[in-house]
Amino acid sequence: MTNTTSTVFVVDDDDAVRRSLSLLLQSAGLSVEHFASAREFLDRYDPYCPGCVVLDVRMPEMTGLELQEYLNVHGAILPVIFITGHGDVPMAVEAMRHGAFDFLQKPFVDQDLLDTVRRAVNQDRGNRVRLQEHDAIKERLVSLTPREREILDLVTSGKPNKVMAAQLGVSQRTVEIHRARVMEKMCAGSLAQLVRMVMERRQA
Amino acid sequence: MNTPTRTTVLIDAQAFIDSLPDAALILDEEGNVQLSNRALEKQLGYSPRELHERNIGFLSSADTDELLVLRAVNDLSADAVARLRNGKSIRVQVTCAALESSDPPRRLVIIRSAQQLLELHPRLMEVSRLATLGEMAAGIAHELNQPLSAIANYAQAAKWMLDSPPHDAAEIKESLAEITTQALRAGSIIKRLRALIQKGESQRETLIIDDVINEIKDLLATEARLKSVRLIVLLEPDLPPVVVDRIQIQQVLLSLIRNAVEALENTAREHREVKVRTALRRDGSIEVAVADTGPGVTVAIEDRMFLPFSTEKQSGAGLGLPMSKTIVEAHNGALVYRPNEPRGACFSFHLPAARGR
Repeated sequence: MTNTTSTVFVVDDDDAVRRSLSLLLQSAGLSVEHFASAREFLDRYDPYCPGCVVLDVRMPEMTGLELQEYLNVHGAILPVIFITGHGDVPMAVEAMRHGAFDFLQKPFVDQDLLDTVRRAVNQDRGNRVRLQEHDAIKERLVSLTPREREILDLVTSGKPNKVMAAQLGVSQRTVEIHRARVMEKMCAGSLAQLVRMVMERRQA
Repeated sequence: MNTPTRTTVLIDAQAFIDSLPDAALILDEEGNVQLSNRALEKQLGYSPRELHERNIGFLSSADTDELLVLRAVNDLSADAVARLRNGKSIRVQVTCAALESSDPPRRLVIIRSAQQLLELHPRLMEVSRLATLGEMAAGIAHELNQPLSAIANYAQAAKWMLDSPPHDAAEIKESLAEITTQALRAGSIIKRLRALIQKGESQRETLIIDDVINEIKDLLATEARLKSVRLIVLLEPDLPPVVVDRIQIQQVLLSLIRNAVEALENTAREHREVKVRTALRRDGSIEVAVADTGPGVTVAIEDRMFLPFSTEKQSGAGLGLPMSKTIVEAHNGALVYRPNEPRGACFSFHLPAARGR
């Protein structure tokens, strides 16, 4: 399901720009797929495929900005790098406001292009790992019993075992057993790790 | 007692109209010629003697509405077709003024040919052309940026390929060939641009209208692309040639297509379409139509749109349409508006086919 190699998806309606850009990225060792229109790209689009999109802002029918909006609405996490011509500053600003990764002005300096693409690809990879972690934490949380869940909430809010025992009306020993079970089920090596997992869950 | 009018006192009416640079007539109430001037003889071919007491109606071209000139005379200013003494017909603009203090009532009529208007305002035409180009600067810059970007990409790719052996010589060669292609593409954009900017004598050539359109097709496509408009160019093959000033006709096309593209600004993207079509008309003339799917032209604007400086747009001098009309008429053609079906506006012009074929 999850493809491990990242792909750069180039979407530009100008043949020469699209082909040359693809060749440039390929010659830098990146895996590239290119499309002449936003529509073509969407036909092929796979949310599980990691990488980034390099997108021309101006295209007939569906513009780069519209494609970005579509991806946003559909919860896509693929970073989008916009290619703009001169005088497209308002469009670039608009794109950034909607969460574009970056934008590059034509013609590009090769190193800038490559750096930006690599940063985007790395960010995407990081995002995907984190998303998987989130999913894993979620699964672990679901596996807790109601009492364990209670203990988790109290532990992560910094309550000592003695206080928890009094609050729940059980012995300290019982609290300790539940607590060990929570740590085990959550795969947490330390209290700090457990707190971090819970925090991340809350942020997500 | 009648007070003689100041003009009759100051100068003789014949001397007065003879001093005008434009063809001029003085008519009585029935439209009979009382006086005509030297400029008229020079431009239309009729001497004052043969015009005297003849009805203005004879000036109307035989192949058009007989009363065209007469009707034009009843308006303050109108377009008409005048028949020259040698049998040819030309497009003219007729301006009419009542000579207020004359008794019986008389009217002064001034006739200007479209060609003459152009000659009178070469600078105006140039300003209009440069204004059009100025408005298109963004598009031209963008168009030029494409091959330049491609060249930079191919050159950098070739460099990287060389930097990381083993490299494929064929692939590098291919990149170099692409660089050549793109450099030539950039060159041809500049060449076309230069041709459009170039000031120069009006030059009539026998050309195929499709070729004239094809030369600026990329420029038009860029213009459409920048505004997310679908541009469809349908060229009828094997049309007879026309005798035209290439640059002037291209200016007309640029102007009409720009207007069409701009008219689509508030139209939903999927409905933005401009269609350029050439066709042979039944009368043998060649038609070029530019139709858009925008809101169309309201009646209020329709009345004024061919008048200079009556623009509805935020930018632009409002010279595009009047100048286009003048240019087309100077080519013995006509530029007309009609609503487009099912929606939008359609501006079309037709030019006579070159003779001798």
